[in-house]
Amino acid sequence: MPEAQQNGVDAAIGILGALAKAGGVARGSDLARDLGIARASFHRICRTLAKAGIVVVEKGEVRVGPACAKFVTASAAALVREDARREQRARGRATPTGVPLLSIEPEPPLLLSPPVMRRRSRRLRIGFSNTSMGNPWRVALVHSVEHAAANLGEEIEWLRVRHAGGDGYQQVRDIQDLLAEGVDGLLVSATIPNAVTDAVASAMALGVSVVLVERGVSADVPHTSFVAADDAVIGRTTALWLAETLRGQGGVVLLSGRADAAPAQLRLAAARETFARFPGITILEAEWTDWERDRARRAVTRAIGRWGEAISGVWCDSGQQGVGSMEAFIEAGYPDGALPPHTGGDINLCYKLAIRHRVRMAAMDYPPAMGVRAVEALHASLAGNWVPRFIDVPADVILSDGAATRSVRSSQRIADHVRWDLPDNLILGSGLGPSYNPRAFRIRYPGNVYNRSAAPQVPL
Amino acid sequence: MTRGVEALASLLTAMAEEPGVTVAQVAGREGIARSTAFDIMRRLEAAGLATRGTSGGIAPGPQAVALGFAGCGVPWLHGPGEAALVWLKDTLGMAAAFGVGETELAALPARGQAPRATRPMRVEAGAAWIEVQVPADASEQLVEATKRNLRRAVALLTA
Repeated sequence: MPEAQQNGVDAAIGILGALAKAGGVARGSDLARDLGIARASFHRICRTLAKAGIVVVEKGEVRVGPACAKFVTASAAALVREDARREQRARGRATPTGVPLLSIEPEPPLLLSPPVMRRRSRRLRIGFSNTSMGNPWRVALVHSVEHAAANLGEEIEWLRVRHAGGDGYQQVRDIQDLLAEGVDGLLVSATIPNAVTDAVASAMALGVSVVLVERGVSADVPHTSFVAADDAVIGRTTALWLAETLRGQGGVVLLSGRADAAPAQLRLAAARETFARFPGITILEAEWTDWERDRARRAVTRAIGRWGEAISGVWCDSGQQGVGSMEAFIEAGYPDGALPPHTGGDINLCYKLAIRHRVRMAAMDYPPAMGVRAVEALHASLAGNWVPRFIDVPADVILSDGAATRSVRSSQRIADHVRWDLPDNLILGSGLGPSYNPRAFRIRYPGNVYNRSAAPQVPL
Repeated sequence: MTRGVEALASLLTAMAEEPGVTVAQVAGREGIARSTAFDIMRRLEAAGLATRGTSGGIAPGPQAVALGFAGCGVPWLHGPGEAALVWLKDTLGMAAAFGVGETELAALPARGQAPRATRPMRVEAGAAWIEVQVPADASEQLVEATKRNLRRAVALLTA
């Protein structure tokens, strides 16, 4: 007889586990046989459990007893308490005010990941493997992750952040190091999806929860959740706004980010699909700019030379190109109010230029707040909860005054969104509230030193 | 054997009725030897029937709650049901609840200050249901988003 079954407590635990698996009711003789418990012992254990109301024994069947309803009540109360804690942590943070929705968006079913089983009595060890620290957006993402970790307070033992410098091999080593250091949960922003696939799968196989943030891996690689802004929604919404603003007529220039970056590919594909629904819209040029402002400015300067007044609008997948493009029009002598409508967002300067030069603009900030959401998803999974396999961090639709179209309404005005008091290169949409200033950002959480952020200072 | 099982039943009952109670408190009150109580607790944790927080408070584990849901005839709903509520609240900001027949199994309040007037919007699959409270002054866009998200969540209600 196995050792576990020599003990009445283990036998009782076995009975309850088998009963849960069987959907709440099973024949007593089947349970006793399957668990290898002597009939007399089985009945004695069941009688004791029945006395406490945990099971009911009736006509040879064992079923869940009325006392188990209290487990549901306790679980519901715990859910409400955790929800209140989440609200408390979110206090002071900016959250999107509207529900961006277009009728053409697909409607996938909600998919969930089961929790990772772990010992709860130990505090959480969280690792963040970040692709690189190359630009202000990534600084804001790291700040967002640190802010969320700090809000978990004593629940975490440490948060450790590694930057891979854009090197896929380095990122694999970073993930392996974090696993060796004993992380319970990992946040990964993948440099190159294929390069980190095995490392992510290995982490999951070890029982470590992995939440991907902003840049994921292929959908068939095991992971707990992927937290990102829906790039297709960003591309589709901004393109729809531009097409409707132009009343379905005119030539547009498309300025995308990096050809090898999934977010840029998704936004461009969605924008092209949307423009294709307007036969009067002609795509004059489409350029990859590597999200570099100067490349965007040079591309638009060339386009102005070639197409001149035929450019009716400029679609940009981020504010870097938006800034470069508006600067090119200004340099070409376009007076205020005469620049064609633009899309963009993210960067403070993009909004400042749009207001100063009276450019009609639509923007959806790519939100670094996904860092906060990723930590929350990881925390939920490690606390034993199911979590959505994809979490879309919504972005506000930000429009110039009077720029709403039939399908695209603003959830925020540009004039309310811009920060005249903060640097031009400030990334908005961090979700860290109006007092957030990356230059003065200090944070305290278990694992960091002297309240310093893991993100190096990037000049703004 | 019976005393060990009685101690186990006491721990399970206490964790359901008194959130945050500790093993030591239950042991002291019920006359269970501390070492026995902690040994049983370790076994309950390993089986997923109990959890212990960093402060030592004990609570029903996922297997125990699954037993409760099984008692209501919807064992598959534990886990996915609660996750759906959190997701609905996150995406819509509305109060949400799910249940089976007349029994509400879990509910979350609306985000921030609850709206004064609301109307329920519910989807059902068999006896199971999930419901949100839509503010009376919700925009057409928000109502459409609500319908859409409920449609996305309804598949979780079936086994």
